[in-house]
Amino acid sequence: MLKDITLGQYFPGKSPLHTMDPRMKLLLTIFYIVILFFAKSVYAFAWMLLSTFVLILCSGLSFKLLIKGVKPIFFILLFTGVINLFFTKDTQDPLFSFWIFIVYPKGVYTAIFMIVRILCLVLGSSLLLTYTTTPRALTDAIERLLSPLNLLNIPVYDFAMMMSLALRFIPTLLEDTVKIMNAQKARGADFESGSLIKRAKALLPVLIPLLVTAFRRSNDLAVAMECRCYMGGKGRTRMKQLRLHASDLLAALLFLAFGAALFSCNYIPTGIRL
Amino acid sequence: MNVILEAQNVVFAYENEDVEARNAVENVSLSIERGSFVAILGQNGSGKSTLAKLFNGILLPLEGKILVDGMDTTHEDQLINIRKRVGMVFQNPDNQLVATVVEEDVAFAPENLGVPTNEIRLRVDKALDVVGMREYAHHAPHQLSGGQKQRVAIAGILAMGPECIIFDESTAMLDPRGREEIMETIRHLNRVEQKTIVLITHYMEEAALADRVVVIHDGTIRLDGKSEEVFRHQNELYSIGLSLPQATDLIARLEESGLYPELQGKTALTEEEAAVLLESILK
Amino acid sequence: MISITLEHVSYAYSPNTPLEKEALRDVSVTITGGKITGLIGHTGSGKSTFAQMLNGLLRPTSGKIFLGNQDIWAEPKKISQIRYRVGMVFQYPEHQLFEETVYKDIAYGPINMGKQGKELDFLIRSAAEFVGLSEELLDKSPFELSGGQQRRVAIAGVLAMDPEVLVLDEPAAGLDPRGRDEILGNIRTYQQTKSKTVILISHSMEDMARYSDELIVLKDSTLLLKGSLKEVFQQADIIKDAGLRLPQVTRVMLALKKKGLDVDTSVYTVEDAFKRLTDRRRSSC
Repeated sequence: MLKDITLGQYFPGKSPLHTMDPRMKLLLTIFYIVILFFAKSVYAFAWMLLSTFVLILCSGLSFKLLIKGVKPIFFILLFTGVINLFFTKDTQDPLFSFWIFIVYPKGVYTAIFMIVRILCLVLGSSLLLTYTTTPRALTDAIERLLSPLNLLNIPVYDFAMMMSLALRFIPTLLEDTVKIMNAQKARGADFESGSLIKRAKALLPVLIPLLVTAFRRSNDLAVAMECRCYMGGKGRTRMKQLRLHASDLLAALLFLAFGAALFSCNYIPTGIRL
Repeated sequence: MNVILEAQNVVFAYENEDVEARNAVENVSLSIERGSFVAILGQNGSGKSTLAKLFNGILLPLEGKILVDGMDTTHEDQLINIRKRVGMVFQNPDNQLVATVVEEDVAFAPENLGVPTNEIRLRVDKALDVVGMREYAHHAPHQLSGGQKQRVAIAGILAMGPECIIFDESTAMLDPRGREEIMETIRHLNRVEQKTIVLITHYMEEAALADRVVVIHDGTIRLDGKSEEVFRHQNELYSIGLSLPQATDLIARLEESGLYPELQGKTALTEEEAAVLLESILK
Repeated sequence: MISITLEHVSYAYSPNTPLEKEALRDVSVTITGGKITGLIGHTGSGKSTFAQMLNGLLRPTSGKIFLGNQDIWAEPKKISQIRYRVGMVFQYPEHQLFEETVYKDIAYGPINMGKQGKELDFLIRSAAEFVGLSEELLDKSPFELSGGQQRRVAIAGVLAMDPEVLVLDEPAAGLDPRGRDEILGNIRTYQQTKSKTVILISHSMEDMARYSDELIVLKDSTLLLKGSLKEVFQQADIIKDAGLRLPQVTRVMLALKKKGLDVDTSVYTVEDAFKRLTDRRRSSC
């Protein structure tokens, strides 16, 4: 069960999105997210949808997989839709009303657009970042983008190292958790039934050993790293260099074009006001 | 200089020991020659792992000196050189792997040392070849078995280009297959790659593979010599909590019984040797 | 002296999904009551799945499991009762310790069972005694103890529930020779004193030869063989397939046989080999 979490997981592949420089992906994701919030008209939202669709095609990932990844936010989408549907006020006549729930045309449009925006946000950033970029590449990208901070004596590399170590140990610590839970279940621990307080208390025999294990691992790891001459980021070279390619710059241009198009869409007159 | 590791009258104690407790390492002097394969044998708590950590500068002696290729471990500016010279492989395979991908983990040490990019690639590939893990270069650590993880850890040390490798109970957490893989690799490293090997263990079958066995108990060296000689001291070995491999034990008991004068002075280190000796007495 | 019977038990992870993985296939076997049964098999053969079926941690995707005459899944809501009757010690059990004192940690299981007062104290102290933990350690924090002592505390924590069946996964893993002998010796004493049914998982055939009465061999998720030591060890290929090796002394005997000598190869301990060889020498003198 714990292994089925697809939101945030990496799916190997060779698509254009997979091979793009991770720094570019990171920057473009931020750009993409910001741009999405500027969409204000129907055409802009349609354009948004289309672009996300293009991103999906560029990733080479199956729709089935993506739908699975979207499942966790289904309730957020539903909730957002419902709130906007029933509580958006307008000056026009309502479509229908029931008790305190009044639905205006604007409500319908807003609901749809909100849902579309969240969907595109989640899908877009997942496709650009987590699904097609290994955690290691991501931390590399973050580290290199932040490297100018080294001049201010901020240990950027050490933070990146901490992040990538955390990523490396997530599967291992998950295994540890399962083992500890099994051991305590074998001694009569019950994690499923009882009040919330009872269940929280039942977790103590899992959390404490887990913490102890995590500390032990990190202690051993620190010693092992020292033995391999870890000295922080100073003087470090890399086996894999990140180099920007023409394709990365092309991607950047395309995204800029997308952003410009989105803006322009806002000015195309439509009958639907948001 | 022929001696690569040297302990001179070393004393060490861990902090927050009870008042009555003894020192972990008590006045130990030991020299390890370049290219040799030495096993340090002792039960848990004997001080063998402490000694290993002293040799690498992880722990510093309270008294006495530890010299690695002439360098004193208490000289902080020498520590990086010391660790480049003497690599260490630990007991827990997982707690040595830092990266999410095998080849990136092996590259860790050379990257730390500022080795030029293309040379890192060469070192990583060579190291993975030596341990036989080249085809797993793109795997994630948690997908590997214990023996495979340890081999990756060894590769990570090899990529530093050390002359000597200390194995601190590196097989204790592995299944028999994993243990065999590692012992094979260690033998190869000593015979072919000509590395000095120090094997810290409580398994006598493993110690039997070394040229020289140093037996340690309660922080002091009890026996030191070639494996055949050391294994003859069965009573002493038993008294300090070790046990002979079955083949050695059988021959030793037969010799002691007095019924087999032909076995006088003979020791079997492996099952093959035991079979040969038994063959001669049964025919 | 209770037995455990598996009837056509199968287990698959993530059944009916593309990730479905069969861990056990159609296993039917009876674990004899009152004996130490060794469980062996190569990595991935289904050993730990098998073990976790015995105390109801995992539910078979098909088939039944009987503790004595009782189908353990007849009332799924009461499965924790089964866990009190079939105690399980996992590998490196010292990693599960969490309480402030050794005494309290050992008490965890029995308290969950509802034990209290004098009975609880008795269970704790007798369990501690069985594993060789001295009384003065009971008030200490488990985290102050050595690795070997911690292991004993963890095992005591399961013995304190006084289960009818005890399953141990590599109880001597990582211990030095003396530690191994002590732990396995304690388990043997416990089993004999209380006539418990014990299942021992281990990779060491030397240990199996010394401590188990019968062996169950798993291979590729199915049952390969159940039998006496002799029956199983005689089929050297089975052992080899499992990535294991016969006890060293047996291999010596086999090597001798190969050289043309007439020796009995069903010898699994050094004591046994010594006896046979000296008897032989005495009789021929």
